[in-house]
Amino acid sequence: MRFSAGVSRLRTGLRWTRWPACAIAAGAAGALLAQVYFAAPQTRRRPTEYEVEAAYLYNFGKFVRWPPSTPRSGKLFPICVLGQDPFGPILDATVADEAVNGKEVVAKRISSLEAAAGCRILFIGSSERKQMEQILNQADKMEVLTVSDAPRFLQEGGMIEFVLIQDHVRFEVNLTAARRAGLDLSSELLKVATRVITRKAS
Amino acid sequence: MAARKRNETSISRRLTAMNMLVSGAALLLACLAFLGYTRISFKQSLVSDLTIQARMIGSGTVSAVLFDDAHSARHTLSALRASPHVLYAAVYRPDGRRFAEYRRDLGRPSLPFHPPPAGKVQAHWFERGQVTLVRSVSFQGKPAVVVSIQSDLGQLHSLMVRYAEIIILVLCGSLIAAFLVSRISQKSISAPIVKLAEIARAVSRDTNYSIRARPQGRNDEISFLVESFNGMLAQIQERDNALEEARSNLEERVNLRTAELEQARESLRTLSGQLIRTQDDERRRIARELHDSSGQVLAALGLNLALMEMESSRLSPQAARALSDSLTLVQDMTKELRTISHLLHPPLLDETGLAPALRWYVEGFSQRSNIAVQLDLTPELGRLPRDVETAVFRIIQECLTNIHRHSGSPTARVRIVRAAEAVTVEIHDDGAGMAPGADGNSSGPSRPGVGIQGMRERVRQLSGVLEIQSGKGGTTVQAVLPLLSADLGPAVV
Repeated sequence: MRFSAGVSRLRTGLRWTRWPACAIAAGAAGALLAQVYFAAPQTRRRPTEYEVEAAYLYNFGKFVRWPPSTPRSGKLFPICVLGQDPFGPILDATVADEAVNGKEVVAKRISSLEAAAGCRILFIGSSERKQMEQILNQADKMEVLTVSDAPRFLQEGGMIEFVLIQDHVRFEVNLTAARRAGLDLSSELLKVATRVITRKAS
Repeated sequence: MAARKRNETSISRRLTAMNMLVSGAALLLACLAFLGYTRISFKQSLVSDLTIQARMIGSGTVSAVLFDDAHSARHTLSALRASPHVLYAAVYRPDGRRFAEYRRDLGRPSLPFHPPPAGKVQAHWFERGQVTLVRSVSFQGKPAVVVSIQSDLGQLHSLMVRYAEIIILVLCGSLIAAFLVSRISQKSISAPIVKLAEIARAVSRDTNYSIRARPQGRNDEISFLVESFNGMLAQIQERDNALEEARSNLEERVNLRTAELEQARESLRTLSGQLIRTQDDERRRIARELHDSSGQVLAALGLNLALMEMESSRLSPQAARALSDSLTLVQDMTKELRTISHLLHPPLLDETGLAPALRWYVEGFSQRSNIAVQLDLTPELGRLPRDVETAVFRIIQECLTNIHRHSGSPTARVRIVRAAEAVTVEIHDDGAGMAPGADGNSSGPSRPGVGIQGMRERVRQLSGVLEIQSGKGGTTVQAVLPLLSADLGPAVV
């Protein structure tokens, strides 16, 4: 059962790849990333928390299906950072030459939620913790995957929350929030999530 | 019956063996081809199964690799426990670092990373009863995972063993079926041949060429064989008949010729018998003539001379002496004439019988030849038929003459034994024996004497047997003359 589920997921994933040129570009970018990440394993330094989170951030995009009504933003796959940016240049370096579903991944820093139109993934910095609930309420209508490393993010209605477990970056998923926004999370993603909650945000 | 059995077995068994060999070989070949095909297709399906598993594992572990969740990957891999033939499986990152692995048995070492060759997503190889498959799985257009699966070929081996068992069973069953079918179907082939062989044996055993093989009513080689065989028999029979006819013709002619010869011989025999009788009659007549006329003349002459001698005193002394001489000459001549006459045909033979005639003759012979002759006669010899008495006398006369002329024997013995139905005459001497071929039994270079031939003819005329035995101890002539009851005269004088 599990295998067949995996195959159907794989097929779905392949269907996403609509433009071969972009696929090739993405492949090349992936290879480059792999070289950056994994070359010379003996001397390789352990990636920092934010480097891992930056990589996870765009990889999430590969396991999410947006509703067809989502406004198109051309051949770009924008990842937006709201509030204080913890990644700095790491994010830009990580997503450089990467592609999700054949679209070029770009990093955008935004100061207000209004600028988040067209974003596919919205990272909300912990600096916005106080107005998180309000932000999330608005974001629900924007069909955007909300990610944060702020504590209690899921409880406040966020979709994916980075957690640190034994110095390893893991993540938890609020499936209800994602579904409410019309996003379809792949079971493959849920499989590797530390925790998947389905209760409604209060 | 035993021969028939043997014959039948030799042809039938050979046909059956050939059929079974052919069908067995064809079946074995087919089975081997099937086995080989099964082996290849099983390997192909095994590889395709492994490919599916590798793809499933690959797509199932992509997220685990991307989000560095080895636990999830191991969980995915652990599903392989459902495939007991999978020995080992591993998930690698695209750069070759092992991410997670699965072992069926705890002690199994990890496999080193063998990526598929450049430009290919998958590779597999068989070695040491195991198959290893490596597949690179891409996600979102990028190589994301390399999966390696190793499986044993136990399934293949057990399948092969099971198929081999089935093949052996099928082979045995098919051979039995082929045997039965062949036994039934070949009867139409071997039975006519066996029948033909039987007929051929009967023909050669009984030399009976009138037997014919029954035609098969088909149009194949066997009926051609039967036809040819029958044709051959007909020819042989024809020649046999012709030969038989020629033989009987020849026999008839031989019989005819033999009868002619027999007739000629018979007339010759009659002729010689007549000759002998004529000779005997002639001798008797001459002897009587000599005795009756010449003897009377000589007697008269002697009487006259005796009368003249009474008057001899009146004659001159010369004349008287001549007269005396003449008288002596007449007396000698009378004696001589009588001897010749009696030798030609002893009057005693007709008058008093064989015994006195023989006694007279033997006595005279001994005197003339100085050969001591012993004469043994059966006391009750009596009178015999005239032909027999004449023959016995002439045989003895001839033999003694021969003894005197040729043998040089000083003695001779004559024996006559009379039995109820035959009289046996035996003349023996102690001389040098006869020269080979002189006994008249063969017509060698030295012609037998006419005397012996005459003896034989006499004996044959009387249906008797003449035997001559000659050697260093002398010669014995034995004649046995049958006495026919009609001719048997009284045994009195």
